[in-house]
Amino acid sequence: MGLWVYRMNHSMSMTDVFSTNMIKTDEHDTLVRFRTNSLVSMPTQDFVDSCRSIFQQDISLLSRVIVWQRRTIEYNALYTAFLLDAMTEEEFEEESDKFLVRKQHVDVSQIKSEISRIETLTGLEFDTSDYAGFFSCSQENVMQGMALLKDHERFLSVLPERLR
Amino acid sequence: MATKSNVCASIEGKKVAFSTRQFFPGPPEINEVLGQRIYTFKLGIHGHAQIQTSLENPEIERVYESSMIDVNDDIQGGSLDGWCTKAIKSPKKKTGVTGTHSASQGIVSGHVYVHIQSGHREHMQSEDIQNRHPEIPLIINEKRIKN
Repeated sequence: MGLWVYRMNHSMSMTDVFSTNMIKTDEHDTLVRFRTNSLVSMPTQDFVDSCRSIFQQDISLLSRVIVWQRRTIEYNALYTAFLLDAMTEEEFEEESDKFLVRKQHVDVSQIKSEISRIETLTGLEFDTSDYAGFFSCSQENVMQGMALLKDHERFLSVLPERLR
Repeated sequence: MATKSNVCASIEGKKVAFSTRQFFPGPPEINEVLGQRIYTFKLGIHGHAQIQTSLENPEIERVYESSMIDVNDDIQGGSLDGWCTKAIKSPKKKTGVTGTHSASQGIVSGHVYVHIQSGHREHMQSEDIQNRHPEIPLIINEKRIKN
């Protein structure tokens, strides 16, 4: 059994550590957990891999949120130019083609897991139309996913009676 | 003519007047039922929308069967969202909509759909709105009582 010690630089986050290959382990590294009446062990590499997987999912999800918000800002800038008469309606329609969305059906279990994770990670409350924009799906689709979060009071409060 | 303020109540018309204190434009979408481009939008904090001109053939043209379709039918709520087939031009500012606050007042035309996303009660009871606008619940309730 090898003793495994890793020292983190102060400027590094756990995400830095797990999302890169900074942790080097070999086949002899084992993580041991002491409990009151038992001893549990697992290969350190397995533990590192599972942590890395969790962080990478979060990073991927947050990247999608940033791209969605950036797109919203860019569309707002275009629309403001139109309101300020800096472009004609025809020019606006042509430019807004870049932002045109065709809605698709998204798996409700994906909506369920991702919306609760987004709110946990960002600390922000988005509504059904926001999420419909994020997933490029209908609000009905979003509400079906929200309805699966039975323990989440805020999500249930924004649903119509028939879906609660 | 009917007024509704429950979540998911909606109106559809050819020309719809709206007032709001927050206007969020959304990117255009392709509406599968109409088969054409629609411009989405959201009206925050005391959104109100009323049909000024009805659709020419509402029973056939309307997208949602539950939508109210008659002239002067209106909805109001904490947050409304919807879409229209024509890009919305600058809303005109109008004062005195809630007694002490100004609000945007505009007209949307084409085929217009507006629906209540959150009702007044849910919206006003949210901690965020209570902190930022403690006077709003009082004003809206006064207006309702007078009506």
